[in-house]
Amino acid sequence: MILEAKEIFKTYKGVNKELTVLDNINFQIEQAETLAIVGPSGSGKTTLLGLCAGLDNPTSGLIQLAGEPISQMTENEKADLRNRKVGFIFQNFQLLPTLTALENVMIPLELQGRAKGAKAKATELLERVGLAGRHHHYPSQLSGGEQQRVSLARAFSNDPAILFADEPTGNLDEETGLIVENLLFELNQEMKTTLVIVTHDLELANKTNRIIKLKGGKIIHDQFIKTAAIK
Amino acid sequence: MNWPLIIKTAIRDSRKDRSKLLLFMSSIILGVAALVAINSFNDNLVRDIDLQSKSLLGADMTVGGNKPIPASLLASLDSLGGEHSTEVELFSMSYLPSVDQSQFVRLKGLKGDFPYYGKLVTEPASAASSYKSGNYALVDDGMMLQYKLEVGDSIKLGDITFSIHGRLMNAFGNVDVGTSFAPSVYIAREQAEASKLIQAGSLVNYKNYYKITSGVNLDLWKKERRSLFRNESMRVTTIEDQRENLQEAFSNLNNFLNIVALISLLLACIGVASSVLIYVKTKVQSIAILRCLGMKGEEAFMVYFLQIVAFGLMSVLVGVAIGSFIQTVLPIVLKGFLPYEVNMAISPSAMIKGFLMGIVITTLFALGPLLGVRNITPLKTLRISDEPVKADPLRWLIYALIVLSIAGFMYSLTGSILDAGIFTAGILVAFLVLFGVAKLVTWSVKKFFPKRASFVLRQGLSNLYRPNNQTQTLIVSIGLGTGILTLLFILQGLILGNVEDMGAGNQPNMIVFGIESDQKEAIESITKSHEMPVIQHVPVVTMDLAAWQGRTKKEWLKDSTRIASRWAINREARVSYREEMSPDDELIEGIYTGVHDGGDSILISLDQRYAEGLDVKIGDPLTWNVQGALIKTYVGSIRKINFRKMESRFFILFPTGVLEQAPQFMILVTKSPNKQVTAAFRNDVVKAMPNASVIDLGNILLTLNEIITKVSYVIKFMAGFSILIGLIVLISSLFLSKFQRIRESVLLRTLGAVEKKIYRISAVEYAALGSLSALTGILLALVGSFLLAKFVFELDFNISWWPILGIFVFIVALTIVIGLWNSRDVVKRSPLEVLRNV
Repeated sequence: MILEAKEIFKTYKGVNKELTVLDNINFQIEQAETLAIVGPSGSGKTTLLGLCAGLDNPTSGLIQLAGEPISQMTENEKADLRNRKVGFIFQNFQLLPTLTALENVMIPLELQGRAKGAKAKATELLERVGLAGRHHHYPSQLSGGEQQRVSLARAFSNDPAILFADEPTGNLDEETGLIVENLLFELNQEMKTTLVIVTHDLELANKTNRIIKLKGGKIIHDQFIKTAAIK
Repeated sequence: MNWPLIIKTAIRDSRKDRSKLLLFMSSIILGVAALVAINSFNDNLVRDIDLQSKSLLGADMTVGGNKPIPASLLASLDSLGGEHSTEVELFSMSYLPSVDQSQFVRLKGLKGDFPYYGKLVTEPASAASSYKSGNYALVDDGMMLQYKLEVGDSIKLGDITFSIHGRLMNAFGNVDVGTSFAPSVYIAREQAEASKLIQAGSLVNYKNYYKITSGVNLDLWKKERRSLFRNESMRVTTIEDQRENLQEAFSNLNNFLNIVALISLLLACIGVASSVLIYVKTKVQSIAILRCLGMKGEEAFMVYFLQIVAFGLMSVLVGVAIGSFIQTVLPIVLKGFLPYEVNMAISPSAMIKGFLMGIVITTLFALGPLLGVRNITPLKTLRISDEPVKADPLRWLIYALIVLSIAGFMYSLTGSILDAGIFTAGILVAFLVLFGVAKLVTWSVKKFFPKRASFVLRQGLSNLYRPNNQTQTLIVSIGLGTGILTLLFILQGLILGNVEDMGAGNQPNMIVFGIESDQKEAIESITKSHEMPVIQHVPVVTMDLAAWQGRTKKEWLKDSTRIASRWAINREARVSYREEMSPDDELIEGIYTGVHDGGDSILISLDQRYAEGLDVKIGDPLTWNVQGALIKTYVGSIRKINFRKMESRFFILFPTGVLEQAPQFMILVTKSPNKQVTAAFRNDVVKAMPNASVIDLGNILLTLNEIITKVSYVIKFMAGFSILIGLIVLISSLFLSKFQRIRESVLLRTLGAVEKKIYRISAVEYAALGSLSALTGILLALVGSFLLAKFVFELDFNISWWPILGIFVFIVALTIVIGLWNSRDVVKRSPLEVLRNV
């Protein structure tokens, strides 16, 4: 088991009353599983992703990531765990604007202190995502699809045990989105990574082997699909 | 910590932002440059004081006072051995026959081989030693140029006509200020005495210059005889005293300049702090990504700290280099205050001091906003919000360190913990007041926002509250500069206005003094021949205080418990007598007695300050020595004198019927309608009575203007500096908030706003910013000048609004021009670039 969420609650203090965003969430994810979290806007999808990835803390409950209680760790311990075990893909790409494509991909490895082989691995990954000639381009010089491919290369650069993707194709056109989706699933399969996707897109969700449906902060549906289809 | 990565990331991350960082660091360059320049200048000044104090004094020791040195002291001085020279110095009228003009001069009559050290520089050089051999005079070079005089021309002083023997290129012990009022003229002492200019009642200073060869420790010798000389009102100055006096005078000037430089540096640092805050805000997303990828909070902090320190270091080094260069300009700015030429050299200690102060202050100010980096949550990668970066409690420690470093700097200047504390508190209060006013002004705009105004006006004004605005910082920095400039203009206007008032209407504008009793009719007839009124024609009798309250002057001086001040006791009194008190004087206590009834009790009237100085009250007896004759009087009344009118004022007034037979001279007060009449009247007076001197308002205005111009030059230099830093903060804030502005401008254009409209919105914003800054400065200047006028200078507060309006328009126009010039790029950007999230 790579990820376990146990009795998770997340509430925010409003002006007059408390707002419960996540209400008693429980689930487990096994190694190499692919999972989609779906639900309408405001259902708590992104909040749940943030908690699972150790970007935020639950109000109560326990989250175990790669066997470690991430919800009880200090900020620095969480940062270290993310760097070793987690990869991220964001809807708005989140590349560092002042770094070239190559440097963006190298960053997680350099953070691990693996600067020596970083360049070779980053180059290989960029070639793998089809950006062989764009190493020294800055994000502002790349299209949206290219930026997301750099983001994919970066997400896999540290050989993560689990990869979190927040609406990975939400900012892309259908054609480009499809290319990115395929790359994501291919790389995931090659590297045997656990994949957690937050999305509105049911087509994308159906490509995973499990779908968790959220509504009003509660899991209303948790369904395993036999095979994940890759086009 | 992963140091290699931190350094690498710091370098990579700064790549695209170096121009922004360089720009906001330029204010630090300016601040440090000012500090280094001023400190280097001071080091050179002090070094030269040490080297030159001997030649500035011209002797090993001088002894002097406003009467000849008493025989008892001369014996003691003669026992020292060596040689000495004597000098009489007085202010007198001179007449220049070749141009038929007269000029008020500082006349020095010398006997002996003074100067013993240094040189009296003359043209021709030989004149410096030969002028005492006959009817010769050395005349100030400036005066000779003014009247186009040549060597060989004549100058009449008192009864004697002298031949100008040479041009005087330097004058011992005189700072440049006021030389056009009374330029120096040197003659032989015997000639000065023969000219009949030295008479009873003349304001003469006597001085002896000593060159000691016996090796006596003069400072010790002086210390042992201190009371002896003080009781005779004689001032003794040794080379060490001269050095200390100069050092004290210039350390005050230097401290003032240093404080101004420190304020400029602090202003620059406030600019840096707010720029770093904006810089961090633009980096929030990058920091969140780094945090998300596993970078620790401390490491992210270090990335940006290293950037700021590196740029700070570079800026400080550039500032030190520029400061060392611009110190060479300071002697030009301060020329009027320097008694000698200062040799400029690089000062390592000033450079080190400026470097340390620069780096410490810059780092501390940058640290405040940087601390927030540690608290940026990686969650911001998922949800973009404009939530402010959480304030760190550690900032209080940073604030404390900033205050401590300012206090430390002040301590290094003043050497006194108390003074350093007072200065630091003063600076803090000044900045708090400025920030308070800035906050109040911005609050007022928000509170009274013109909701029904046009779209352009509303949009422009609301820009003052946009996130990342620099409104308050700009109000403080530009406001401070404007405030200093306005204060200067107001004070200058007030002083000149008050002096001009003296000559307005029927107010007198000319005084003739030194008229002998038998010249009374002659001077009145000269005055009337020029159709000028005799406003006052009063007698003056000089006398000394001999005893009061039953004790002699000597006994009082020996009493260490007395309250009476030495100046009041030792003062040579110039007394007048009249039936009526001047209508401008205010009677505070007692009854003014104008006519003595012939009885035993002579009731005199004293000025309030003089009475306080002597610690006497109504009814106290005072005995005067009127050139040998003792006269016992009683304090009959105490007055408050109005010194603002150009009339003769007397601390002590006798009733008529007492002093009429005593040796006396006269003072005549009149009013001249114009410059031509003044010049003609002055010439007639000098020709008819060479011993009399004419002082006119023109002379006073000239001197006052000269002093104010010199002071204002320095202050304007510093105010300009502060405004310059304010404008740099404005430019850097525009640079740093460029993206946000581009996005807004593009959105407005997408929604249909034409380019002209966007320019107008920007113009309104900068006009509001400039107006608020200028208004804040002007408001503070008005309060400051009112307080100064009321309590320090005691002037009427009638200000002229035109210069203030001029400053206001200038500052607003400058802000609009710089703001719009830097906005061109923002307005011209293509919407596509924004859509691509540049």
